[in-house]
Amino acid sequence: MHTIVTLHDVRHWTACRSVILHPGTVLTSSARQWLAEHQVAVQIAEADQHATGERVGQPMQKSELSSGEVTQDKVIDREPVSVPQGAARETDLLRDDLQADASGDAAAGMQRAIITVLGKDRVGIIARVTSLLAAAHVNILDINQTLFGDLFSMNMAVDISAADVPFAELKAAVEDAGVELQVKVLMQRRAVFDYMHRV
Amino acid sequence: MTISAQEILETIRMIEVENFDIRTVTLGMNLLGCARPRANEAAALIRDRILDHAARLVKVVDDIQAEYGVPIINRRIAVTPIALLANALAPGEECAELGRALDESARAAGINFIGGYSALVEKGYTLGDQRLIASIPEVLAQTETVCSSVNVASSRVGINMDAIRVMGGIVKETAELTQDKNGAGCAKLVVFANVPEDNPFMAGAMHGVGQPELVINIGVSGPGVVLDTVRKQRSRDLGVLAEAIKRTAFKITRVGQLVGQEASQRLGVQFGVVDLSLAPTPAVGDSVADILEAMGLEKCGAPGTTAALAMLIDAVKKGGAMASSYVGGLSGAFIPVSEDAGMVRAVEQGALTLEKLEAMTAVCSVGLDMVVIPGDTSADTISGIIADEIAIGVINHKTTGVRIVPAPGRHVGDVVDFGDLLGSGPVMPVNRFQCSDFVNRGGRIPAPLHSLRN
Repeated sequence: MHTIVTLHDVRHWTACRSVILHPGTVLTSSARQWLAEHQVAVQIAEADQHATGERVGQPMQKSELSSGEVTQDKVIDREPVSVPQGAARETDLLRDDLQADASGDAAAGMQRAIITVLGKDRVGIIARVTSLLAAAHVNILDINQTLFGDLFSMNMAVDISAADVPFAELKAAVEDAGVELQVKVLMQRRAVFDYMHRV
Repeated sequence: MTISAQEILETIRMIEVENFDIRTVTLGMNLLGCARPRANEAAALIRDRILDHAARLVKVVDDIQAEYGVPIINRRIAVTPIALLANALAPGEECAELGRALDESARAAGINFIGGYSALVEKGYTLGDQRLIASIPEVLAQTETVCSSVNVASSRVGINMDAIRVMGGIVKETAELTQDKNGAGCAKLVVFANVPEDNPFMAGAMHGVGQPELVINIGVSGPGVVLDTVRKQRSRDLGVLAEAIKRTAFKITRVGQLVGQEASQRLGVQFGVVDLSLAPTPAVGDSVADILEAMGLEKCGAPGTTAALAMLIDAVKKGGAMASSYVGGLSGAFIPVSEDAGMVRAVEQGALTLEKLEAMTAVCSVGLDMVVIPGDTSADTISGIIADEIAIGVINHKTTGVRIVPAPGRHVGDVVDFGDLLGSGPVMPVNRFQCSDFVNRGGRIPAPLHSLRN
């Protein structure tokens, strides 16, 4: 997220002692001067800090302030940091969409995937797939099975947020099981269905 | 073919009585070759390159002026958007140094404005764009001749509201840094939608990326000549009037074409375009507002003004397009308040408001131009004004720009003077209701449909 900070922005930061800005942020000369005059320390975050740090763009916690006279609360009251919202906004928007589509079964923090099994019916398909999922700490949220004559079809909604193996490995494992069972197994992130079928 | 005495007298009358002139011969210049990681090295190359060409430009244009007896008011230079060069700068190097190099070389060569301290950010910032935009207030405060422009939107990609939010702050900061000159720094800063990359007129001139190494673009003028035409057609209907304006525009533009061809040949530089814009000056009789009033409006800004302006500019374009092989740039009517004596009068008498001006820009170029507003107008409100004007351009597939001066410490009714070139204008009232929450949403407004046009 690239941003430009003007004097107009920093004037809202009177209550801050220290501000961390998004990587690549550029300040105008007047903004820099104002911050120096008001003894507000400015740090431009490193790129990786941006990826994980919720605090980027937010005033630092009270404990991190060099002097305790200014609190974070004061700052938040004024909603001062209009600067680095872009990236966060966009993600929020996506998350909102997914939650809206989840018909109530999703809570924040879930990572849902859909497993589809197609093929000739035989004993032990569900057992094989579910035991594999259980071993990997994947929670099954919903399961739906139908038979069209001989053709076995199963859709399974799972939450992989607690899984102890990465998505790609899990996908490979269930697909390998499919080869063993002579059925077709697919594993896809849920979002692709949400995006395709929900406007 | 012989020229009649009447025709000779008509030309002389145009020049002597009706202020006809060629407003500018602008040399567009590629500076991409000057990109260097060290600002001082890039600056040195920029200075060499500009000085090399500028001296010849001034000499050739002076000669043409003398030989043809047509006043050519300005010799100007437009350069590659400097943000492109800023991308090459190493971290910690100052972009402003490139701006100062433009100023030094322009002044040394006797050029009064140099355009291209610019960035095109309709879809987002590169690192160079960011560094350039952040340095605009400083550069406009420290230099005299440098003009800056930022394209924040286009009909193809939509409106970058993050950039518009930032530009509100940049305009405000520029005004504050040039407080001693009533915020005149803002008179050299335009925020554009659909910026033309071959515009010869300041403050929005630049040498876009699709342009050749060097190019000559001509800006013609002549509101006074058109005014005289309108006055002669006093009781005729608007169809007849449009026809008369077309003929006049043809004659004016023809001279622009001639000057452009000559300059291009003598400099050995490709001829770009003639920009057909009617560009007023603070001089009496050189006013677009006067033309509108001569068409039958009591004051510019009265009901009917938008229609009159639409007809005027359409006729100018039709006549001009016939007269020149290449037409480009802005090619519309400029309605800069402070640079047009008739506009100033209309504002002072309460006939012309910011809102009416905005409506007028929907039918002509180039947007809200040289509008002075109270110094205490907030950055967010300025962003809101910019957003409105930009939206008109994006939806109507045309260029619009905003050149607005929040004159520090000045209030509605004060008259603010920016010097000879930029004129003086009354401070116009701004709608007092807030738009901060809208502006601070940021993001990008998606591009409009290119069909279903109503």
